[in-house]
Formats: sequence, structure tokens, C-alpha cells
Amino acid sequence: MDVPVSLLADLFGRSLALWWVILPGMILGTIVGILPGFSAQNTLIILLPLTLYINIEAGMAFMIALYCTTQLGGGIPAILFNMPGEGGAAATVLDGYPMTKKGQAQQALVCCFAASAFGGLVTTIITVLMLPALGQLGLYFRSVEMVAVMVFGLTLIAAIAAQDLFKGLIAGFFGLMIGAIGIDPVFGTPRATFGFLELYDGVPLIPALIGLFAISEAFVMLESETIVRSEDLQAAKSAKWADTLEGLYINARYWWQTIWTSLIGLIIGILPGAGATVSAFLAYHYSKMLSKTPELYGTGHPPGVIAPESANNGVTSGTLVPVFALGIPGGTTGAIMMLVLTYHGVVLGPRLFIERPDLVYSVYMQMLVCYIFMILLILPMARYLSRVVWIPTKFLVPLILSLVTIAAFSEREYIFDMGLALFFGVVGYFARKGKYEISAMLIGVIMGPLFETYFLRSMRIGQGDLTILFSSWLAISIWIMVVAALFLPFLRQRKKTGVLAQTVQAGHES
Amino acid sequence: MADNPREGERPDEPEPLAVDFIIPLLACGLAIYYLATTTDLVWEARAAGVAVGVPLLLLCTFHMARTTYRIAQGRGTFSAGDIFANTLFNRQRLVLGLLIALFVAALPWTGTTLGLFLCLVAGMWMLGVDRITTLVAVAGTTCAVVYVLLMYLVSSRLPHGPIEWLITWAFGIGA
Repeated sequence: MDVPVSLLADLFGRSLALWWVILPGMILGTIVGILPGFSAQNTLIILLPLTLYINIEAGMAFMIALYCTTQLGGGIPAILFNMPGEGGAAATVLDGYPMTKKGQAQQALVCCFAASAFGGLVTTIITVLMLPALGQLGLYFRSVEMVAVMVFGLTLIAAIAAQDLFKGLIAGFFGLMIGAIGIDPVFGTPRATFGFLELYDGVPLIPALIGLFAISEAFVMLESETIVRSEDLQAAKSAKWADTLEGLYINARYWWQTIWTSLIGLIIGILPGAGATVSAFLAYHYSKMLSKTPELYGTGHPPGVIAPESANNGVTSGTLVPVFALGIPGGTTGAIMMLVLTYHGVVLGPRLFIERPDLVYSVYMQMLVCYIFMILLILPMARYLSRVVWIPTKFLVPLILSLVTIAAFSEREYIFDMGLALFFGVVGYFARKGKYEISAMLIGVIMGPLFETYFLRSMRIGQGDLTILFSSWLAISIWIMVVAALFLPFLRQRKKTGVLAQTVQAGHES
Repeated sequence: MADNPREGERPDEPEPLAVDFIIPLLACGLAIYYLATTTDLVWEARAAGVAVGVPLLLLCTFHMARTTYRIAQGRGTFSAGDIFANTLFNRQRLVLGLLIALFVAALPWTGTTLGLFLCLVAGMWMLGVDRITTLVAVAGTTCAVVYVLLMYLVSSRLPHGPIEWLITWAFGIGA
């Protein structure tokens, strides 16, 4: 399969025509990135009613613009206030804030913006070139392999994202169990519906998503009076534009570093559970390790800003690969985009590349357009948008809670779903307090019905014999990877000095 | 709101581990309920539940046993820490949760706009916003945005109440 150049050109033109949703998405994404405790996921959740109602192309363009820009925006408070706006920017503070203290805040900001935009651009182009190869997956992944892939996805999330393997696995399997609620697909018998007719179709995904993430986070957020301390705000006001060009020059000098660290982000983004934080720390670590002047890292060295920022934007391209190729979200943002796509009737999975290649390519073309806009617009925007950190939580928390509760209504238009979102909010709050990985739980809920479909199909083919799950070399290889993923945390504990151990630990501490 | 640091940070004391049991107990409860209520069904209807429920029960049992062992070793306590304590943040969380529950329950009567307005005003006031003009301005603007975006432009079927009827009566829109 070759790259369809004419289709790409057409889609690029159509994506450019979607500037009216891409630009608001970028502005909002920058604000969200700046606000610590606010995430792209939660904003996408709040805006779900809108993205569900507008057409799929515009909805995806908006979400992608918001998501890509969030990773960039997270670097702004990291550099100016020593406070990462996003987990992916946690490594940016290591050299970004020392640059600010040295009076180089503008250079640091420009390094952050340029690395984010160019890193994202590079990985998007590479992903587009890779897509035809990914389309071939459809020929190899059948029900048996898909069961193994789902278990592997959950295990990886438990092993990498969760601090405790057992807690991660419990969260993932708990999610799968919740996903199994509803009528059975063969005979239509209700299972574990607690007598609610509204649960006959299964647990609706959007209220579960809203509750587990947005409501539980709002409950935690009210513990802080304001998002940023007033003394940090004073530091932000002194930022100037004079050194912008110098920042661009610094970035151009480290162009090769931008490319290879963004590739780290792309690879990490494809893996379920890892995400921007791990990729940023890995990129920072390798940048330092391969540098001729490693002693300068941590003292305000520009490559220490460029490496994590290009990596965390590289993740954005990778995140959608498992969603499209396997129908399995690699993280929460992927899960939200998956919900919107399935709401619009798109059947995700390996056959998507055969049946709807235009849709897959259009998403990446929108990403490309977003990064091009980013290069042009983000520099003049960032300074003024950074002022949104003044909003106190006494306004934010009630606003978030009430708006996401309304958003829960959007999927099926049942008031029941709003109550369900609140219930999941309480579950999510207890999960956060107990350090259970809620993204594993959510992905379990999403994969529950899919797991049942593929598992039942496999069982029917195997006439009830479980060994069917090990009947192909591909499936066996994936099961071996499941076992390897289960041992990953133990290896991490035994070898605390390892790169992955350090980066994951740093990610958890951020 | 109080200015004190985050609750629950007491590094010198053994870790309160009771909160570790909440999710496993909920998960076990669901798994047992699921397995118990599907025993009479054909194997196709039970297969996925069993494939997920049994490992879930084993994982939860192992984790709870491990946590109990840690408590027995003195590395943790069977306390819930601050999670159920009578603190300002917990009271605020509880009241906010109840407010949202009340908002949802009263929605068929209040309608979306009025319900949202009252919920926002009550929530912000409870968290310390006491200027009436600020309360009304923030809540009013939010309600207006929700009405225009979701009810007027997107035509969502969010419940209608007195405000929506009034708008329909006055301007002939949103019916």
C-alpha cells in the first residue's frame, strides 16, 4: 500500500478550511495547558456535547487542535513559575525555570514553542508515512489476537502508568467488569444491571469518563485556594518579548535534537499507558546522556527545554495510532477521541484503514495544519494567555462540576446519566485517594464490550476451548509480552538505577 | 477557604491504608453480584463475566491480604486518614456532591437554566464567593452560554423549565 498523495493533498486543503474550529481549539488548548490541574482530557470532556453535535471532521479537528496545543501550553507555567501545567511538561521545569531565573524566560519560551511545533510536525509527517503499513495489521489481527492485545494493553497501563502493579490491574479489571454490565450480546438477558433499565445497553461511556476524570479531579482541586500562588504571578508579569529572535536561533542550532527526541515521543505515544510524562523524562535523560556538556543540564541549558517539549508533542501523533489501528485507546485522550468517533458510527480497528482511509488521513492532516498554525500564531498568543492562571478554584470547581454534569446528558439524553456521572465521580475520587490508576479503569470500561465480543467469537470458534487463545504465533507472542509486562515493575524495583525506572519514578513524582 | 497546606501529608506517621480497601471492596462486590446473578444463564452470557470476574476476585483478595499484612507489620494503620475526617475540604466536597445530586434530581422541575444558575450560585457561595454581583454575573453568563450553545444552537433535549418557557413565550425561540 502506497501513501495516497492526491488524497493527502485534498485532505490538507479541507483541513485548512477548518481553521474556524482549529484556531479556537488552539486558543483553548493553550489556556488549558497553562492551567495546572486542568488537562486536555477534562476540557474535551466538558466540551463533549459540542464535539458530538458538530460534524465528525470539525469535531475531530477541534479536539486535535486542543490536544496538540495543550502539550505546548503546559510548558509556559513550567518555564515561568516552576510549575508544569501538564504532566508532559514536568521535565521542562528542570532547565526552563533556571533559564527564567537567569533572565532568559523569553528564550526558554521560544525554545519550548518551536520545539513543540517542529517536534509535532515531524512526528505527524512520519506517522502519515507509516499509516499504509499499519493498514496491513487488519490482515493479521483476528478475534483471538484482539483478546490478547486487549489484555496486553491493560497490563501495560498497569505496569507503566500505575505506581503499583496490583492496583493497576485491579483498576483495569474493575473497568472491564463494569464494561460487562448490560444485556448479553447473544440472548439479550440483562446482567448486573441493578434493576435499572438505563443500564440494559451497558454502562454509558461518557458519564463514566466524566465522573472518573473531571468530577473526581474537581473534588481534589478544591484543596487549593488558587491554582497559582500570587508571588509567582508577579514573576510572570515581568516577562518581555525582546529576546524572541534569540530563542528561535537557539532552537535552530539544536534542530537534530528536536527530531530525534520527538521520535522518542512518537514511540512512547503508541504504547498504551506511557504518555507524555514518561516520554519527556526519557527524552531529557537521553539528551543529557548523549550531550557533550551534560554538566550544564539543570542549570538553564536550552536543550533541556527542547528535548522534553519535542518529545511530549511527539506523543500526540502516537496516541491515536492504537485507536485507529486496533480500536484500543492508548490513553485518556485517545479514549475520548475514540468515544466521539464511535458515537458518529465509525468502526475502529484494523479494517478502518481499508474501509475509511480518508478519515484516518484527515485526522493527521488536521494535526499537520494545527502545527503549521501553531508555528505562526503561538508566539504572539502565549504572553497574554498566561494570565488565565489567576482564576481561583472557588469559581472553577462549581463551574467544572455543573458543566460536566450537563455534558453527561449529551450521549443518550437521559437524566439518569448525570447521576451516574456523579456516582463515577465518587468512585474516581476514592480511586485517586487510594492511588488506583483511573485511566486503566476507564480503558477497561471502554474495552469491556469489545473484549466480550472478541472473547465470545474466539470461544465459539474454539467450541468453548480456552486454548484457542493460544492458537496462533502472533497471539502467543502477545501473551508472552503480557507476561513480560507483568514482570516489568519487579525489574524496575530491582534495578532502580535504570533509565525507565528513573523516568517513570520522575513521572510519578511530578 | 482555608490557607492550610494539603491535607493528608504526615510523612512521619504510618500510612493510613483503609482507603486501599475501598476500590477492591467495590470491585469484589460488583464481581460477586455479577457472577451470582448470572449463574442461571447460558455459558455465552457468562463467559466474559467469568473470564474477568474470577481474576478480579483473585487480584483483590491478594491485594487486600497484602495490605492487611502491611498493617500487621506496623507499616500502615487501619485508619482512613483524612478521607472521612470532619475537615473543611471534606465538608465542601460533601456539600458540592449533594448540590450536584440535588441539581440533577430537581432538573425536571427547575429546567436546565434555572437549575444550573442556582447550583452555581450555591456552589460558589459555599466556597467563599460572597459578592452578589459576582455570583449573579458568573452564574448568569454561564447559564446564558449553556442556553445559547446547547439548547438553542445545538438543540439538545436538556430539560426545560420556567426560564426556557419564559424565553419561548417572550421571543418565540427554543420551543
